[in-house]
Amino acid sequence: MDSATGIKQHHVAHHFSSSAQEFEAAKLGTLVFLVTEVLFFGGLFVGYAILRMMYPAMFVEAASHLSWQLGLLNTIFLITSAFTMIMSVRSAQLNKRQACFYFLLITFLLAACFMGVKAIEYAQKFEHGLLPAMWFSGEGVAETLPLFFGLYFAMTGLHGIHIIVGMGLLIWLMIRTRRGEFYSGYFTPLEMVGLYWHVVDLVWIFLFPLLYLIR
Amino acid sequence: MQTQHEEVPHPHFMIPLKYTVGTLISLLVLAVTNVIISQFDLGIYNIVIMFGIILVMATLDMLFFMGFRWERGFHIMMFLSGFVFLFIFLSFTLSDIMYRNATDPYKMQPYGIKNLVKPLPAGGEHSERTEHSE
Amino acid sequence: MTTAKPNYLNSPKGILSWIFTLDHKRIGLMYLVAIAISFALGGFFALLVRLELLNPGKLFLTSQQYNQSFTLHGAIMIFLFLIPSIPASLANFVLPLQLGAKDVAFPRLNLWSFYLYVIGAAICLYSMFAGAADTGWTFYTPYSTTTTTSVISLVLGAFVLGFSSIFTGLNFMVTIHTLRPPGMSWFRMPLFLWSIYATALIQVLATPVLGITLLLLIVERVAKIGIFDPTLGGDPVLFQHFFWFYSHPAVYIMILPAMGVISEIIPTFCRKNIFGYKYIAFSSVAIALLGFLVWGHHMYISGQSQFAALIFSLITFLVSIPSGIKVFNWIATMYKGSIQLKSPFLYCLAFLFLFCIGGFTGVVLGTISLDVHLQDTYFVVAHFHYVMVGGTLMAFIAGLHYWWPKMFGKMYNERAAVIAWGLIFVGFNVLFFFQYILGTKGMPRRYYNYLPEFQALNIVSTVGSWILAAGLFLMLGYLIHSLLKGKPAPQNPWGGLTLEWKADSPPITENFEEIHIVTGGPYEYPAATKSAH
Ligand SMILES: [Cu+2]
Repeated sequence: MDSATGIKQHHVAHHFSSSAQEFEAAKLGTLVFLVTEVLFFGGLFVGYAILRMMYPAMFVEAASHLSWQLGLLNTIFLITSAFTMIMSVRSAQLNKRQACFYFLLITFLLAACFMGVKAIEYAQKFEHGLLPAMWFSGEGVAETLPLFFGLYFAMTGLHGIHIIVGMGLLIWLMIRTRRGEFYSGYFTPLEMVGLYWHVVDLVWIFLFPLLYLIR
Repeated sequence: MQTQHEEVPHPHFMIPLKYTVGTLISLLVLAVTNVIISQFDLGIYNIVIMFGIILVMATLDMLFFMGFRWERGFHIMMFLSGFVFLFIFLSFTLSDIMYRNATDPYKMQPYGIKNLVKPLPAGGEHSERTEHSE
Repeated sequence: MTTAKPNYLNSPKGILSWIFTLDHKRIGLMYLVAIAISFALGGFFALLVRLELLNPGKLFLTSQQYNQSFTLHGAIMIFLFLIPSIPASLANFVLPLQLGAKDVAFPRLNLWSFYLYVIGAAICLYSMFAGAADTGWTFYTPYSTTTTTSVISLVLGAFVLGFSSIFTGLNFMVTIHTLRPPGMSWFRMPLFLWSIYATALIQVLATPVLGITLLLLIVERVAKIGIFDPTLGGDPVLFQHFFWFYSHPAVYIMILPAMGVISEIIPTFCRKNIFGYKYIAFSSVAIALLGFLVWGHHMYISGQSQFAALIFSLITFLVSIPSGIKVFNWIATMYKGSIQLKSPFLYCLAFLFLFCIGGFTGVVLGTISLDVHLQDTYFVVAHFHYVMVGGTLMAFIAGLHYWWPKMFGKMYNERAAVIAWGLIFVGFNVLFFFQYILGTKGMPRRYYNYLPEFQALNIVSTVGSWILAAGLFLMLGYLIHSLLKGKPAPQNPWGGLTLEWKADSPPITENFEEIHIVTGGPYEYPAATKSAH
């Protein structure tokens, strides 16, 4: 370890011939993994599209049971967190360890805010009985309303799980940043988690209008 | 002798600050715009505008947050292939669902699917299977 | 063994060095053992089903136990054997060797993939004892959401196995992209790598949809979200779309690596360059991509629209083109080659013969007007067993015999291998050929009972299953014998030209002592270059 800067030199794994090759493998692997994520969520979106085509009126009614105010707040949290994530990668590229750490921390806190708002929303749905059909006891005009809330909980739930996983990854990154493992010569994990985070963001960019803003 | 690694243009490229800040602001503005527009009834245009805004936001996210503006074409193709296959999945499934009443011209609704069901009793008991509503 | 040169099998020593190994060769070997156990389990249920069908009515299983047996047979064979068979065991071992690389791109992910496989298998095993599912391996709704058997645990097992498969595919894809040795351009890669690459494409692009399908099925049972439930307004046929969007491409996950194995073995045992290298390579990718557009041919009588059925049928015919190209190229490779009829090559011949029958009957089933009659009869059962057992299993065994000396450094008894091949080939045909006839006569699949006039052919079929099992047991016997008492294998027992034959048998932990520089195609046998002029 370099005592002046607190930076730990990264060593290329034995089966790679250069750090460029190692980076290329990590990048390609991450992108391919994110493709699987897109298709994983995609299945739910296909289900959404089919049901929406069958019951357009029900979806409009269902959206009125959701609070667009809370949804917008969460959108702002997530978009801002995507920005701070980028800034942490940038700080690592500039060898600013402290800044890198704090940007990661802000990203983490924004994600926590997102989950907090989500919890409030879920609590409201529970209160009004707007749940999947097993427990549905809400009031509505459309008889297929439980379908929407089944879909709502499946989609936002799966997205929420991805946020929680992302928060775990952020903690891991913060620890490694504290240890001084990221610097201008090596920041692969930062960049890869960043890509993951942007895809989770991307999913929300679709989810929010499709669930909350239907007319 | 050439290897494929020499094509990697800038493995340690740094996204310029003006792009990230610009993207942040435009994404926030677009999100708010989307909400505002959804408060007015514009008929069919509601959904058109909504999807337009979603697509612009998604593109911005990919171009500048994920850095695809400076990425190798192959990597972008790789990532977008996910959406291509999703489109295949959706369109072929729709080709079934949309044309299903063609197999049963006497029904004015998708074949074999119930539009109406009895509301579920409280406690979520399995409801009785109802016959076709029409 | 005391003064043996250090190789990946004996250094480092100790059970922990295996459990936590990152060496692709050891992981491949552990996969091989796990897959063999799964195959034995799936085969056990197959024998049960066949035995029960000796006579109409009850022999020794109740109808419920019969349903559970064929479900477990199908689920185990598909998710635990066929999908991981060649990629996870043989390719895991061979792929980095053929690339002249030290390991796959992500060794830790490789180990994770193996442990996910073990966890998934354990969950499936648990499901077996906790009221085994009786839905068939396809888990069709609404039956799968209403039956009282343990659907959730079996589905969860398949879900975990799906991730194991995704990680294997992702790993191989990145490995082929980034770890090719100097001089090995895409068109100098062994064809096995092309087929593994095409397989990885499917694993990565299709398996996530299986994941979400199975997840939705679990959620459906737990919370009734209703997407697939007609009583709530959902659409049960939508489940079939979701399921087959993965499961049709999945049959190419099973068959493409098999085709890759065949493309390796045929040039080696014919001492001849492969005919139409680029056509075989591109047809692998074409099969992988076209395979995504045909899933509706499993749903002709499910109530999907005629419009969709028409499109799906049309594209199904198109898939047979790249498959046909491959078969013609393999046969053209044999033409005027100096053929050595060793056991790996014999299995290749069995593959060609059986795969052609399976493929042709596949075209028959892809035709809507025929399929409406043949759907859910024994014709379908015979068809996919000809492709999956006659195709994938034969190629798996061929590859196992081909790379066995490299994996363990031991030769097996060739004469025993030929006898086992004869038993397996004859047993297989006795077992399945007559099911085509049963199918055209109208015997439905998955039924516990059948009409008395079908009994004669059912007895023949069951006897075939015993012959096949005898052949497989003989194979197990001489392979174990070779491990214990086999002659040491030379570095290159078959005269192969691809890079894995330049490594020791068995290879050292780091695979190669020096980096190999590739200067030409993978199968450039001298005779072939001469005759090219
Ligand atoms: Cu199929």
